[in-house]
Amino acid sequence: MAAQTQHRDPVEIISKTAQTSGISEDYWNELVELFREACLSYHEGHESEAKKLAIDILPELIRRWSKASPENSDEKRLRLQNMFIEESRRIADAGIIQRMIVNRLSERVLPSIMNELKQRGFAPTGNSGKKLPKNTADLLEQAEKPPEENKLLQKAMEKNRAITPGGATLSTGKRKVPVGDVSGMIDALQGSEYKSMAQQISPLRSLFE
Amino acid sequence: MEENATETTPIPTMSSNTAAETILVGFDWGTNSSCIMASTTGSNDLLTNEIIPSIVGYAKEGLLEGILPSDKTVLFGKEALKYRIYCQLQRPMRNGVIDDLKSASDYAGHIKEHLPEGREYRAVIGVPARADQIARENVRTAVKGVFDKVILIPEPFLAALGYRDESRLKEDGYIDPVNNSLFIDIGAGSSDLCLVQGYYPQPDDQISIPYAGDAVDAELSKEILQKYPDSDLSIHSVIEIKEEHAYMGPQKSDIIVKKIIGGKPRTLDIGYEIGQSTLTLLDLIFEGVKQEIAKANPDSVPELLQNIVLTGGGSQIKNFAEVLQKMLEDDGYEQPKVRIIGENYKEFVAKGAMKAARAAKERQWQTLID
Repeated sequence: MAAQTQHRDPVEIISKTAQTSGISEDYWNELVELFREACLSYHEGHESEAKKLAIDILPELIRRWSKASPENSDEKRLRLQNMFIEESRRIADAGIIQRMIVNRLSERVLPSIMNELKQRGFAPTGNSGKKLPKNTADLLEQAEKPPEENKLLQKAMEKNRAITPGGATLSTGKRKVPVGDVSGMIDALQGSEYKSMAQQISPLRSLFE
Repeated sequence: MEENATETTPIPTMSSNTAAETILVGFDWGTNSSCIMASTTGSNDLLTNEIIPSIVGYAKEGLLEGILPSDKTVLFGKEALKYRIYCQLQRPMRNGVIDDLKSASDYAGHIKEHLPEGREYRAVIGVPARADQIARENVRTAVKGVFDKVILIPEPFLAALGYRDESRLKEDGYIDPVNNSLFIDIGAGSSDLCLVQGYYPQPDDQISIPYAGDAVDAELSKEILQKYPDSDLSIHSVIEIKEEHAYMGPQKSDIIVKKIIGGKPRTLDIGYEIGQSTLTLLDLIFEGVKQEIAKANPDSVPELLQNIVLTGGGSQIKNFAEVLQKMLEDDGYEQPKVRIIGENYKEFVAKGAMKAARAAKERQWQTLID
C-alpha cells in the first residue's frame, strides 16, 4: 500500500520538474504522480493533504503541461479526463486489495502471531506473563476478535468506504444507447461509473466546469 | 422484478456440460424471489432456469435431530419457508438491495449449487436503477467466491432486453416492445416506471416510487387487524391472502378467508379490507404514469399510450390493468391500452441478463478478488 504522504513544498516540486525536463511529458508524468498521490491521500483519510495537492499544486502543473503540450485543447481535456478516471479506478482497486489484506491479517496472520507470543510467555492483557506495550497489546487483542467485533478491521473498512460514498446511481450518463447495442450499453454504464468515482474523489472536476 | 415468495420452480433444462467450460449466468436477485439462468459460452441452451425464493432460514438452537432435513443448520428458499417455525428467517434483500450481507453471501452460495459444473462463472446481475455505489459493492462482496467475474446492470435495462424477442423483429405485425413503451414494474419495495423509446432509459426517463408489494402487505395487515383485532396473522399469511385475492376496482364483498386464529379455524370476511389495501398503490401508479407520459415527446404519445406494460409481482393484482386503463381514459387520454406481461414476468430480467452476458466483451467483465 502507499506510503504515508509527505508534506512537500509546491514551488519546489514545480520548479524541480521544470528544471529537469522542460518538456510536456515530464510535466505529464509529474501530474499523474501527484494526482495519484492526491487520490491516495484522500483514500487514506488525509483530506486536507489531498486538497492541498489538488488545489495548490496540480492546477499549476496542468497549466504548464497544457502550455508545453502540442495537443489541441480537446485532446488535452480528453487525456486529462481519461487519466483522472483511470487513476481513480486504480485507487479503488487498491482499496479492495487493501481490504483483502486487512481481512487476511485480521483473520489469519495476527491470531497466529498472538498464539506464538502467548507461547513465549507474553500476554496482551491480564496479569500473567510479560506485558506488551499498550498499542501492541490492543492490536493483538483486536486481532483475536471476529471481524464484526474487530474495531481495527471496522476502522479500515470505514476508511475504504470513503472512496465509495453513496448517491451515484448506475446509468448511461448523457449517452443515448440504442437497445440493440448491448456492448455499448455496458461500456456507457461502466464509463459513467468510473467517471462518477473520479468526480467523487477529485476536487479537480472544477477545472472542467 | 419482484414477486412474493411461494414456490421454487425448477424449469426443465437442456443437456449437461463439461467442467472445462465457462458458465454464463443471468441473475435477477429480487427481494422476494430470484431468477437464475445459466448456459455455457457460445450456446443458447439454458442449463439452469430456476426461480428461488430469496430467503434464508437459520436453524434455531437446540432443535432435536431429525427435525430439519439432513439436520441442516441453514436452509434456503422453499425449504426455509417450509420449516419456518424451526428457523430464524432472514431476507438478504430489502427494497431490491442487499440488507443483510451474511445471509446474502449464504444465499449466493446456495445459488451456485443450482448451476452446472464449470471452469469459470461469469454473471450479469440485475440491480435496481437507484442502487448506489455501496449497494453495488455489497452485491460484489456477496457473490465473491461464487462468481469469478460480474457485470452489474440496472434491472429496467435488462427487463427491456429480456422482453424483446429479436427473432421476431422482422415478422409482420410484431410490435417491438422497446420502440416506444412505458414499463411499470411493481416489485416488493418499489414501483419503477420507465420510458423505453428505442434507447436504454436514462435517469430522467425513470421514476421510482418507494411503495409496492411490501407496503400493500402492511396495509392489508393493518386493515385486517382493525376489523379482527384478535386475528394477529403472520406476514406470510397476509401475503398468501394478497396473492390469492388482491384486486382493484369496484368493491368485492364476497371474499371469505379461512385462517387458524388462537388455535381455532375462523372465517374472515375481508373483501372491503383487501380493496382498501391496494388503493394507495393504484393512486401512486396513476400519478406516476401521468408524469412519465408528460415527459415523452408529444408526437410519440399516441403510440406510447398503446404500449403501457405492467410487470412485477404487483401486476398480478386482479383488474389492475383494466382499472388503470379506465382511469387514464377518464382523465382524457386517448384510447390508452394497459397490458400485463403475464406470469412469466419473473424471467425477463434474468433473460435480459443472459443476453447481456453473451454480448459482453472480455474487457467488460469485472474480476472479483476473493
